Amino acid sequence: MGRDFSRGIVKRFRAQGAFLPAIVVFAVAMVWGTVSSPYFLDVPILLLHTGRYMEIGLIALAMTLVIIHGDIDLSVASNVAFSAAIMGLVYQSGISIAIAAAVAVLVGTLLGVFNGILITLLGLPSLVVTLGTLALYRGMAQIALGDQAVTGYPEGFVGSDQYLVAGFLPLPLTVFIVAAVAVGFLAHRTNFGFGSFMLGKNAVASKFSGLRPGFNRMLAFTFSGFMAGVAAVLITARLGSTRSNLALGFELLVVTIVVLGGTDIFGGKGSVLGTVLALFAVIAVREALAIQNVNGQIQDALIGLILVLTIAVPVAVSRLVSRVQMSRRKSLLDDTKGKIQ
Amino acid sequence: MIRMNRETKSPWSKFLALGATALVAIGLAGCSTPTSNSTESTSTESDAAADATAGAEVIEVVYIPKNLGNPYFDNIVAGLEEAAPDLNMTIEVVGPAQAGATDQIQYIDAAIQQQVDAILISPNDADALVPSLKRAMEAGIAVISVNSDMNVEGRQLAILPVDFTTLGEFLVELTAEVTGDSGDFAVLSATSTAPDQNFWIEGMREVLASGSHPDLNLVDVVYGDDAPDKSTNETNALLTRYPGLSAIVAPTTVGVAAAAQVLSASPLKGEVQVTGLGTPNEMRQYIKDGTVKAVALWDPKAQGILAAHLAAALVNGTMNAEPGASVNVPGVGERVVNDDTQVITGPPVTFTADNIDDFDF
Repeated sequence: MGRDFSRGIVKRFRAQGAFLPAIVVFAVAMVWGTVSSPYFLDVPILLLHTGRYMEIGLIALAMTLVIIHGDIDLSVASNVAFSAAIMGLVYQSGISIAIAAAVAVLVGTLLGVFNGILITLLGLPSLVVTLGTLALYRGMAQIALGDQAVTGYPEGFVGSDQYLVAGFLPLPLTVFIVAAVAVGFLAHRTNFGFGSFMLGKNAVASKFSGLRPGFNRMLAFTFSGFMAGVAAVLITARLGSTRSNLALGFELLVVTIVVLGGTDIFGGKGSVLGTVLALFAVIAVREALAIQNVNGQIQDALIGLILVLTIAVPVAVSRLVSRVQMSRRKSLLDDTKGKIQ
Repeated sequence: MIRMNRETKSPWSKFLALGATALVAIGLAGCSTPTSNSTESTSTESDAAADATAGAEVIEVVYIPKNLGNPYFDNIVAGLEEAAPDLNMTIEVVGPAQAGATDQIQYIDAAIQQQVDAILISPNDADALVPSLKRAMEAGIAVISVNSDMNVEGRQLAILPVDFTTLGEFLVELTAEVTGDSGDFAVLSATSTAPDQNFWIEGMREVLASGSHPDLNLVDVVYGDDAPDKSTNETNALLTRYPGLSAIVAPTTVGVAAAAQVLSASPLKGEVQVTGLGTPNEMRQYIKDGTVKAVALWDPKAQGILAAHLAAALVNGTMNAEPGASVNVPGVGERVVNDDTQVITGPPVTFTADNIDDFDF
């Protein structure tokens, strides 16, 4: 029963055209990039370049669940920094890179659990709690590393982001695709996911409907922490070094992508597919601008503008249409009135 | 009637929303084209083989500053652009909005994709850029770090603005010059943990201890944390604590500007000298109103000129990125690659009332 219902939500959501902005932005960016630079449309290179965005993408998958609940997790970027810092210190102490990576994922997950406990057990607002842990986790990373960098990671680990699965799919992208399918299934095809949407729509009602909102939210924050831990490993493999300012500002990019993907910031509505499409739309825009040597400020401004417009334009247009129809209806009504009289 | 109307509204608005979004997106793409100051890559045939033989081909260079909108790096760009025409070189400047550790990687990757000949970069992180810059070098692109060094694996050469090991001595000479080589002076530094400043102050102490300036005494070192308000407070505190002070020496641009500002409005103006490391634009008014006799800094424009010539030499194969190699740069002189594969631009420039208007940064 729950399955059918959640399937219905997805269908309705899709029917509303929530994916259109991301698809349009993606298509325009790809066409424009191809037309304006002979170097742009090089698929293997573009696929490799996606590696820079997959850390953000993985966290965005978890953030989609968090936001569907009506929560937010602003601590993710700081979590990445602290998890990576611990990974670096563990590796530096002579322990193997595989164990160090596992420790990073564990640390990230625990930081997520800590958020979840404060929010679900103590009933504190997620915005306030994660604003606090944003500063706390970053501070812990700074204490752990000071102004030093951890370097000297092993050769096979550094640069593993360039490894091609099946000869064409870069490793980070592969990880992301697997994660996206799993999270998509969880959100849209299980009772758990059904509960998530219900909880975001009406937390009180869901509580009295035999659902477990506390469990869902706790799991989402834990998962968010887990993804931050995974992202910490990926980013370390990509950069080959760790510093306490790692991933600075990532949380805003993550929230931007989730919202751009049509997930309602107030919860109850959203989809994993939307987040995936939005991520690739942002990648396409950034890459098309970079090949044109467009500067960072303009890129940032443009991404911000696209976000505002994709939210505002559909609303503005539907308001305008309904107003036009209202006035037309009114004049029609006046006409008929006049004829009757 | 009303119900029916409402139902017909939905598909309409959907269609319009799609159209509007598409239009906006296309419009955006269109708007941003002219801002991209791209020199439409016409020389697509300039592949590695052609570059190696050198000469006729245009050398395509990308410079990635720490961040944009910073007058200091604008002057490096000015130097690059001054040297470029003589070297048959095009310069693209592209960079991030913030000086974040990983924000420059996107531009390195794009430069590799564009198959440029050389990447000049003022790195935001000594290590995080190494994997991307390694890929650039593997693709046959010359990579030079400009204004600061980084992990040697990530670049072929590094251009440093000045020989930092001699800066302590230089600051003592500057102090001697403005005080008449006698009196008590205090140092207003950045933060107490700033590694550069601490290194230079240590250098100053060593020179003073060697006895070459017997009448100069360093009486105190205070820290303004590179914050204008704290630097101002510390300057006022120094003036109260040491009534006979002859100079405040600030080896940081924020500190020297704050100290000069305090003294320009003080009755002690002209009696207590202010000197140190300052930018001409920040210090101009204090030099003109007589508060400050001289400050010094390195010249970023000379670095830009040197960077352009080194890039050309590496791309043309007229020079190897190895210790002992040298390049002769018109207007700068002959520069030799040192044992750390660094090239030092030159001594600091001292700005006085006579020359300050020649500089803009």
